[in-house]
Amino acid sequence: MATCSHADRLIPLLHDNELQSPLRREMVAHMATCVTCARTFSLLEREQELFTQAIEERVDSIDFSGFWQTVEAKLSEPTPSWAIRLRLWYESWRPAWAFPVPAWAVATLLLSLVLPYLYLSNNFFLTAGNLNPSPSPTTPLPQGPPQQVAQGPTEDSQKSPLIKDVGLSDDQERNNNQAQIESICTYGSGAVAINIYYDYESNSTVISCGNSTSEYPQ
Amino acid sequence: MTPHRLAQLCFVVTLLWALHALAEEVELHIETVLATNSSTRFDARLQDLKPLLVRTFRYTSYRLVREIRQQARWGEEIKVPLPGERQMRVIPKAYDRHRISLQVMLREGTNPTSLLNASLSFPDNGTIFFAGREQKDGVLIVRIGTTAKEKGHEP
Repeated sequence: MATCSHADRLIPLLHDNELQSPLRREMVAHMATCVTCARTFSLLEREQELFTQAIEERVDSIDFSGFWQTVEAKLSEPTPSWAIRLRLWYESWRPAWAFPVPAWAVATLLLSLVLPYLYLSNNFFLTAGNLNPSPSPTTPLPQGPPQQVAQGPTEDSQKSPLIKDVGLSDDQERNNNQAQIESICTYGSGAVAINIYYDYESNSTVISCGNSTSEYPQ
Repeated sequence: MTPHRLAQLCFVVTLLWALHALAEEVELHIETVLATNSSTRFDARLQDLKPLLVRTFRYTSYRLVREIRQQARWGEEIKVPLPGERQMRVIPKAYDRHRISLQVMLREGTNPTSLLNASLSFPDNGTIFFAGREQKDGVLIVRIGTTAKEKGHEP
């Protein structure tokens, strides 16, 4: 059987209308003289006809008479319970989280280690940095040394006589609005009187800064 | 339950715990009151404070200058601008045995200088008052109220 190099490579492209104009014209001209290529082209056309015919026959055999009734019936079906939907959702995502057990264990361990670390470091900065904050480069130095007016109970210090430990019970503690002063500092020149006043009637603590102790007469 | 399921469950529980920890919040209610002797007007919004204010400060006029309600995370610094280029910074530090610890700093000026730095604690849903220095035309009083939304932060 005679063969042609164009028959395998270019005739299928010509049949699929995939060739550019100059090459297409050249192939059409070639096909007029090449029996092999003309035969291959006609075979491809016949193949496509048969294929289209087969699909049409299959489509015609499908019964669409009850299509919309079925759609409506599906729509009116009760929605599955949340457990079933959760299960379906889980199954749909299964490939995404199908990591091996060690990977999950490492992720859990890292998460449980990193968070407390961040938490503790946050508290560390709070307790170590903010109680007596050193002036930042943008903050001018205070005009005078900080005056520690009251210092509450800490691990390293003794209890100040300014702070009373009344030893309240849990319920009393909840109902008692009295503030406990851990520390209080004022900055700047000149004497600053700090009055810490507990108002029993309103159950409130008032801290007032003044130039003298008689500024807010009680 | 398979080991794979168990590992996934542990991860999810840890993740939920982490999200829960991050969501811990405290609500701050900060009111700034200007007390003067310039008039006898009493702001109606301060009616619940009237007995305390009159008893403690003895001014004739009280006006609510600013009221702020803000959710804050533990350790987050809340800045409250005050009249006269002053600023109050409040940091909710911790919740322990029904009490909320706060750091309160009062600063002054465009290039802030510290005036006051207090570390204190008071009961959940409680209030505390700060009064500044008496000026010729009155005094600023700041009421700070706090409510812990999550009670788990115990350092």
